[in-house]
Amino acid sequence: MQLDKMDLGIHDFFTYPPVGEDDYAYMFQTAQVRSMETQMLTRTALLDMANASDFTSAAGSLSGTEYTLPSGAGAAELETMLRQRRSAVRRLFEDLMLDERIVEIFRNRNDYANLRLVLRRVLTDKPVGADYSAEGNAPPELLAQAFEEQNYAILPEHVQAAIDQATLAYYQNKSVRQIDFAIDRAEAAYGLERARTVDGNVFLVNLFRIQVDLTNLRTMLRVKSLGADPRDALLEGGFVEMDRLRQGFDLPYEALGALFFATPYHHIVESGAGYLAANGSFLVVEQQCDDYLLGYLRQTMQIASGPQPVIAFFLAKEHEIRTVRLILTAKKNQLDTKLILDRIA
Amino acid sequence: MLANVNATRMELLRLRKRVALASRGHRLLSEKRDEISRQLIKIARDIQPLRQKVETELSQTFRRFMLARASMEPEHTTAALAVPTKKFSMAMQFASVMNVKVPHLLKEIEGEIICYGYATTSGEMDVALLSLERAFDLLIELAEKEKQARLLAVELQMTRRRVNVLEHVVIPEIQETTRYIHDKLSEAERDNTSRLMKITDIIRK
Amino acid sequence: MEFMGIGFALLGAALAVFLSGFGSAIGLAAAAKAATGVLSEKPERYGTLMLLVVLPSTQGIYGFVVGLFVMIKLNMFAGAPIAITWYQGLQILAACLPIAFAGWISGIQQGRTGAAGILMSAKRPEMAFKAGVVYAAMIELYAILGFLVSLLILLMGIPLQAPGVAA
Repeated sequence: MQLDKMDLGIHDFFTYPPVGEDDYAYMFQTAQVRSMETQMLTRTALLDMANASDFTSAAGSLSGTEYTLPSGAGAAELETMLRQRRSAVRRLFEDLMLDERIVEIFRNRNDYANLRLVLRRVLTDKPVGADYSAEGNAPPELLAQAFEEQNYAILPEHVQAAIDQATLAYYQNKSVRQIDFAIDRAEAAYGLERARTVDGNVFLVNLFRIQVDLTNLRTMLRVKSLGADPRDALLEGGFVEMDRLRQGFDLPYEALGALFFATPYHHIVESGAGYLAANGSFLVVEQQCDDYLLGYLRQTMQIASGPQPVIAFFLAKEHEIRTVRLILTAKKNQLDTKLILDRIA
Repeated sequence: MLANVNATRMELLRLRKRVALASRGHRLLSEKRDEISRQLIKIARDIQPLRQKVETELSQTFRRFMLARASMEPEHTTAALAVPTKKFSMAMQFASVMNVKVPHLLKEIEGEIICYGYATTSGEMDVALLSLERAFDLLIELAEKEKQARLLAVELQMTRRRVNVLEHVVIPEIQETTRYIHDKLSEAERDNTSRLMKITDIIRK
Repeated sequence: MEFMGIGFALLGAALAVFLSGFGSAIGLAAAAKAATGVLSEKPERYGTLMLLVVLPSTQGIYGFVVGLFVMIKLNMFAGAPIAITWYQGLQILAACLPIAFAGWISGIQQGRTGAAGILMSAKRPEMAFKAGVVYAAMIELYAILGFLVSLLILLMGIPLQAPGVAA
């Protein structure tokens, strides 16, 4: 039964895949995130910010929340504040999560981000540097040491594997992009593999598969608009079949809606491709992808208790921080309100 | 000039030659002036739309980049842009317009401007970088044109001053001097004639 | 044979106390954990959440009361327990089972329902009583039914001879 549930096809669910079972060990944690969810910024608050006349009044509307900025704060203060909020959310998540493996899975994202940076530098003979994120599983000093001494054995095994794949991909045609493609693939595959080993993993596996799908959809549209080489860019393991995505590379934008008609992503593709064709911009497809993911996270309301609401809260909070950054940066640089609304609404 | 001039026939001949030369120079220089201003107007006419195009592209780049950067995690932005793949080198050549050395920029651009994977980056980044790439070509052209216009404008100013000096100072002055020498010489001649007449009178008596 | 009767009866009392206590404890733990989670963010909700937390504790009390009645019936407190047949012992054991099982399962489920109600009241405090308490209280009904049946069988269904008279 469990196995059947884990390997759902694209047609086995209607809008969102299932979120899994209750786990009463997470009663306290669930209660805590549910109360904290009530203090998150509402949609109205975000729209008010986007519609504010300038940066000062947009930042002012955040006073009293955890995103309060001192008056006269600049872009640097904004960035520092948001980074602090993000670290706080990550720390909270790590405290609340009873299962260390889930914490590790999410910390891995930073490992791979560090890896992208260090591999680019090392393979193009630039200094290793020290500006790596400390929020991964492998501390930045270890990473720098491994690359300076060429001693990769001190790194975790999956990181070593990713390094091997990326190096190999780079030397095939000396393209820096290949490093990223290889690491993206390694990250997606490893995330899924780890998620399958965790108990009560239906939610995590489905979450990662959705993320792979959304990345693939965005990639498909980006490759089409760039006229780039579609090889290597797609990630394996999502719900959408590879053939369907490959077919999408050759179809005109208007036909994409029909191609994805039977999938839950129909709306994302249709409105995203329409906006891309009309405005040459990915704002709507990105907004739709975020919306879909948040919709899936919201499905965790169905369960009384478990790791799912905690993960959902964590990801929603990270998304909120990104949205605040987006609106405030846009306001600071006097971008069109319409652009902001296209991105967030 | 009037004071210390030798009122001699030699000097007169010399000055007559100079005035002929000066007026020929004046004619040539004014032709040059007209040509330079024609060229300048042509370049200036190109610059205006070019500048507008560059400005729209750059502001587009800026807007998109802001949106992309704001919607990505800061680490991913750093990683995506850490090692650019686009190589850019420039050389300068000089061409001559109306004997003015104007620079001509030769650029060499290679490599793709998009240097990152898709999974952790925003599509807006692609839009921003492509727009930047387009703006680059225009930007170089604009720089070239603006430098040309500036050099030509300096040259135009200088030529115009020369023409004016020739027209209003040099030529009238020389002409006045010749007139003066001419007057002096005819005076001397009349003086001489009257003296000869006087002497003839004395001898006849 | 007569010791076996007492054995069965005491086993029944033990089951009634420990199974329903077990259910209450698990249920209370779930509800209390949820409540502490909410209280860590919103301490002013203490009063409303209190009721939801204590609801599952009743099952344990019912089990305890049934256990007590068994002992009273056996005249344990007077020093000399009544000697009963193994048949009567089994009857007492059977009488204890309704509250044992009803208390056990309903305690756990009531705790979880209460916890869910607490979680809901984190977002919608106005519904805490209307939905949270009422739903959890519905489960209480079945614990009460089990308790009643156990008690009725024990008090009326099993005639025992007066103390001192040999069976």
